[in-house]
Formats: sequence, structure tokens, C-alpha cells
Amino acid sequence: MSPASIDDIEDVDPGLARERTELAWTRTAISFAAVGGALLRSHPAAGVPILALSLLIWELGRRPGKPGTGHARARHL
Amino acid sequence: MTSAASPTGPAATPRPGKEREPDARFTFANERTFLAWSRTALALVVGGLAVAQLLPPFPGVPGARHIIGIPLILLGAAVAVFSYAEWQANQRALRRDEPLRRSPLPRFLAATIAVIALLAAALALLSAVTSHR
Repeated sequence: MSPASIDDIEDVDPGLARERTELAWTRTAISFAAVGGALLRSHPAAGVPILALSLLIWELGRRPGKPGTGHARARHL
Repeated sequence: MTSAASPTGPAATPRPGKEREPDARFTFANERTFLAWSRTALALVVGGLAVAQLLPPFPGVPGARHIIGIPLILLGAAVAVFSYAEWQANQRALRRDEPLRRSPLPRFLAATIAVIALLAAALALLSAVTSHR
């Protein structure tokens, strides 16, 4: 399917699975960031690594695949 | 749960013992489930820490905050580990086109939270009784 013929995002991402999964990763990253931010004031030594972890989680959730392929990067076990 | 047959993907039936890339939507769904369990685990850990560190002491019951908080933290750790194992098992089943196994996690989580809630209620009651004597 060429990009010019795409007029509905559902055609390239059925069920918006990729979109919803990216949002789930973002929610998880925000959860970790919130905990890290809350800990920063009282326990900076614990808060900073958790904030860094939230950045890592956010980065992990970003998909490098081409739009329309419907596949994330391979999740091999 | 149902078999991992693909509704749209390039789902040629694999030969026995062979693995193939499952439909992306199943992979994504499995990943979202794992992330939801991870957030639950994080919430349990934070809840346990909050109980142990921020809650005022229970009058007459020393150590009550830790009795409630530490099991919550341990439960969070267990949920994180089990959810990863489950993601892995589900992904393997999807690749092999096998039925997904039933998850013990919801029952485990519900039972443990119920026990902790009963424990918390008992400690609160005990604290109320001893502090009014």
C-alpha cells in the first residue's frame, strides 16, 4: 500500500495496536517519572535512578518500524 | 484463552516445533498486558513504601505500618517478576501457535491483597481497642 492511498489510520494499524502500545509505554514511563519525582525531595539517591529509568522506559517504547508495516521491532525471546 | 491464530497477519500454520513471527497485534496486546502488570507492581511498591514511611504510627501496635507495608512491597516485586515470566510464556505460545496458558496472577494478586486488607483491618481495630483502654 503506498502512502498516497492511505486515508484511514486503521488501514495501516488495525485496531490501533501500535498506537495503544506506545501509549502504554508512555503511561508506564510517566508512572516511574512520578515516583522518581516524588522521591527526589526526600531521597534523591533513590529518585534520580528511578527518573533515569523512566527515560529508559520511554525510549524503549518508541517504535523504529516504518508506518504501515504493522510490526514493531522483533521481540525475540 | 484462545489459540493464537492470526486474523490478519501472515499466518501460515507452522510445522510442529517451528516458530514464526506472530501477528503484530497479539505481540502488542501481550506487551500492553505486561506493561499494565508492571504499573500495578509499581503502585504496590509505592503504596507499601507510603504505608511504611508516611502513615502515622498505630497507637498501641508498634511495627504495624511495617507489617502492612512490607508485604505490599514484596507483592509488588513478585508481580513484576511473574508478569515478565508470563509475558515470556505468552510470547512463546504465540510464536508456536499454541494455546495460551491460564494466568495465575489475578488470583494470586486478589488473594494477597485481600489478606493484607484483613491484616490492616485487624491491626487498625487492635490499635483502636488498645488506645481506648
